[in-house]
Amino acid sequence: MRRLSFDSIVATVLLLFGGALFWDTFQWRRTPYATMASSVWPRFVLLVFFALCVIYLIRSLRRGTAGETKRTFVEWIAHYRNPLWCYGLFLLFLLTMPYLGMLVGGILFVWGVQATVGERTARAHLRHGAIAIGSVGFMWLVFTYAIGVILPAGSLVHI
Amino acid sequence: MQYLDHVIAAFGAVFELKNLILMTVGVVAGLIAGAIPGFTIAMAIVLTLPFTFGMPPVEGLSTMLGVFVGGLSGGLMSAVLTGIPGTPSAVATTFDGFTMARAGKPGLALGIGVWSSFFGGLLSAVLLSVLAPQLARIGLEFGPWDFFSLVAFALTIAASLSDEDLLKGLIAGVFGILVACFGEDQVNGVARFSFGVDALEQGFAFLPLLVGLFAFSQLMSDVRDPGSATEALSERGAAGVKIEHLSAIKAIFERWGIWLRSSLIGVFVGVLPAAGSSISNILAYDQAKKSSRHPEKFGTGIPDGIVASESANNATAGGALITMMALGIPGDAVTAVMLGALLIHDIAPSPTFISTQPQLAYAIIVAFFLAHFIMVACQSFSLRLFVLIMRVPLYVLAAVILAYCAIGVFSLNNVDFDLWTLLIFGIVGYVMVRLGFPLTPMILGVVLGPVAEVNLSRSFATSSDLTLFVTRHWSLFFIILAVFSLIYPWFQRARGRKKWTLGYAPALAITLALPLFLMGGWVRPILAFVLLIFGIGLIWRRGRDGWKLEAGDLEGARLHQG
Repeated sequence: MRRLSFDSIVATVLLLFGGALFWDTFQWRRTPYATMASSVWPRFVLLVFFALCVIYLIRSLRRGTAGETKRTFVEWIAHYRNPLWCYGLFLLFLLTMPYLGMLVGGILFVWGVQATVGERTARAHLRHGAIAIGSVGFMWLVFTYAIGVILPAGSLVHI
Repeated sequence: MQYLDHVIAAFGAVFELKNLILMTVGVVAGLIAGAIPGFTIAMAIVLTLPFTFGMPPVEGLSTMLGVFVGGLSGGLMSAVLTGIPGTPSAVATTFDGFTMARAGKPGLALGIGVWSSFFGGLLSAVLLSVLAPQLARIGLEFGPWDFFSLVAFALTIAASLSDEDLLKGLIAGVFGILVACFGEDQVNGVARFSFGVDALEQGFAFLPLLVGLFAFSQLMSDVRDPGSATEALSERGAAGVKIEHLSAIKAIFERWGIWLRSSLIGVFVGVLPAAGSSISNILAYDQAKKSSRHPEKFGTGIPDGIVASESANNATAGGALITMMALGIPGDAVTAVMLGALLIHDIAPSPTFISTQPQLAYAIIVAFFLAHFIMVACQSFSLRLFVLIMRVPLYVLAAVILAYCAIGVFSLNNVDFDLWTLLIFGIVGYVMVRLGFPLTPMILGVVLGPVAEVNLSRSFATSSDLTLFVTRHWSLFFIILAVFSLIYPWFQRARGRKKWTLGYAPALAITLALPLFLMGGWVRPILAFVLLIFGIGLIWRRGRDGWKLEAGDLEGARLHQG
């Protein structure tokens, strides 16, 4: 069986995404005002989006997989290892923010990114820790005391 | 007299000590960010926004203008010293700047770059102060139909000039408009695309979205390769380099023709909605080479190439500000960010902006002028800082900047959902770039989508007649431009190879003459007549030559594609 190209998969995902949005336009509240209805513009834009995505799908099916690098799942993970680590750590940072707060969570995030993407020696970990504490601590002080922003405190650490 | 009062008041606001300090910090930050390969000017500006949020509009905008001007000039430092352009706006600077530096004249190469940026920026600032009020006056003639068509033109040109394929550019632009539809609509206040999620009822905040698209995704692209992420940015030293100011100024004065032409190209490209300095520097270099008596010397380290590229990229900033201030349409991705910043301060640029907010409008112009002087003064200091920062591994910078993005984004509205917006669009931006979708059309879609919707709604409220979109002169003018900008990618690809491309420019000139003729008065019909004569003249000349393809066309097309 012939493998689908990346572009074909992306075009299909975009068409499904557009379909979900189009379906949602029928759920909106109708207003009794003498103005253009709220759904007119999004539906018009979605129709243009559909047309473009269909052209994109047809073009990608015609072109096939020529020029694409074939990677196994493991190779793909290895190729995008660093961004995946960063996104994963940022997600963890957001999920733990109610408990750790911006300061502690931020320090752990910066240290985590350096530890996973950068060097992994004991000395490097210490240096990464110092950079994390220094940089996030400095930014936290500037935003809290100089700009007057109340950054989220963690329920576990209370800062 | 009133004009003078506004200018004096603007000078007073911009020359306040606090503002000067903020601008200097902004310029230095811009110089450094622009100099670091992989960091873009748009990214530097969005990272500045959280600091400017609590400032009065003049201070906030002056700081961002400092970053903008600094960023445009900073790109040349790494272009000259390492051969890697710090920003796409300095790509053409590497052709001769790096070669000259390797030939033992890094100080002269830097000096020519710095002073070309300075003079190019100053010329564009003069044109900004003269042209923006005139363009705003023209903008007052626009009805909702004309604004809608102008937005359509801005989006099509953004898609066609985005260096990727047109289809992906258009999809990115339309996707941006869809993203802007999330949340309450401006006309009726109905929550759209919320899918029952409370946080989505307000839609995505503009700035977290921008930071996600431009900063987060860019940083992920920078650290993707484990090898380059752990290396210092550059070990190639420049510690001993001193900028040669006097000989650089002399070299530019000897090439004033190149400087003038390149600056005008820069302003013109900047005025075009969505076309930025990444295009103007290449275009100006190409034109300088074509009109040179010794084109074979370009790329061997001659001053001409540096003058062309650097004066054009800084001049583009002034051009982009003209469109933003006069019409409320961003000239490029960076001015799109600045437009968002103005909206945060409850200021919406439109044709009435200069007349209703003259002090702020002239403060922007004065700050843009002043930023160039600060840029020259800070260049040597920034060079030393740049050398220090280049020793830091990229992953350390990326980690620290990501944390800063999170803190900065949260501080804008104190809303947790903004951090999720940052993550979502950090992923969306990265995936789009990896799949070859350009980000500039998307961001213009986000900015211009609501403008288009509001004007469409207004036009329907005024009249149900759809033919007004083609019978109103300005609307027709922009629709013609939109159609030609849609064809442009094919023209660019076929230029120098297919005969039909010889008809592109004459056809554009002749069709544009039609709405200009219909506009009445005497200036516009004269312009239309000039365009008509130009178009017919081109046809006659090409017909006389037997519709032969010119060698220069192919070379130009190659340079643009490369």
